[in-house]
Amino acid sequence: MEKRAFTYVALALLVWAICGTTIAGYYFIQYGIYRNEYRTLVTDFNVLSGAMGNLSSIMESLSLRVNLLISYSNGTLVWYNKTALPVGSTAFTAIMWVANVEYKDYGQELGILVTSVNGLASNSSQGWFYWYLNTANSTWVSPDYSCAKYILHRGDIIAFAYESYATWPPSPPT
Amino acid sequence: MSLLSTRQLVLLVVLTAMCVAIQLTPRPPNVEFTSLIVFLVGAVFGIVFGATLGALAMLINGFLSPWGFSGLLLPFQVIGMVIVGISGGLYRRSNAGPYNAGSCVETAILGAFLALVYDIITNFGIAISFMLTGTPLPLAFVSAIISGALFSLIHVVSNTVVFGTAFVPLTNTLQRFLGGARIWKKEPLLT
Repeated sequence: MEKRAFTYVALALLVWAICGTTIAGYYFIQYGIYRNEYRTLVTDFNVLSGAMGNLSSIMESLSLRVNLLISYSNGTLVWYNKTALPVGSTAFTAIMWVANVEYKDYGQELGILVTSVNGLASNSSQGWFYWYLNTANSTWVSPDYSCAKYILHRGDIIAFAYESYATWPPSPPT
Repeated sequence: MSLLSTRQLVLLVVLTAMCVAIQLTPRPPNVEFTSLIVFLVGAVFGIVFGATLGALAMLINGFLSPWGFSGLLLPFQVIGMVIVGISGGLYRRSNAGPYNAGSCVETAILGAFLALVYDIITNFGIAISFMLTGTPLPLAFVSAIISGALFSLIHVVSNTVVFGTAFVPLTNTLQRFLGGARIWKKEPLLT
């Protein structure tokens, strides 16, 4: 009886040993596979990161950032700092980018004039004017041509202000 | 060998049909009841019947299995199940006493062992197919064993449970049905 029990215990241990060994082998192989996959993933990630860095610099070279001020002349000043725009953008496309704008295109030399910004429309006594900041002497300059003709440069500071026609030239934004 | 009685013949046919039907039924991979029935038939009807049933069941399964044609694996599956049938007959010869909890433990261990033997044999068949593609046989065999380790584990565990819980009650019932005493006998019923 003891011999019989011993036989079955030995048989059970044999099954246990073989199963344990094969499962250990299986997980060892799996470990190797996933370790290699992880290394491949890390390598791919690094390559992708490098490519993304290049892409970022390319995108920077194709765009510019400007600071844009909207002055509603009731004391409300809203800044849109570091607004990203495509290279070649104008003051008009900048205001179009950040606000709901209505405009009128007079064509020829006069060009486009902004008639309303975010629902505040021009009327017989007040209207929208634009400036750029001359950084050399820190003064606001009001060009005598349409905002659609003012080509933006990197780091430009521009302003659109709602001003009265009573004083001419209109006061720069404050 | 004496002639089969009608009751014994019917029982053998029913068990064979059940064995094939269960084998062909879609089921989780490596959870099977064929080896239990083959082992049972081997234990009740003798080594020859057990081995024959195992061979026939796997032969039919090899062609009609829901997992597809076994191909090169077929002879190895047949050999594996023949061993199960033979083991059933041998177990009967080795155990002359009445059933008890110890018998359940024994058959559970035997179920695990036979599942392992069956898997090793069939993995050898897989290794042969690897070898045909140029892999050295030892490496192919180890690869087949390791890649199928989880399936083997499922097979071993499920067989342990099935054999441990079902074999003894089923044999008791069969013994009663066939008119024998509720004890193990040295000789199979048909010889």
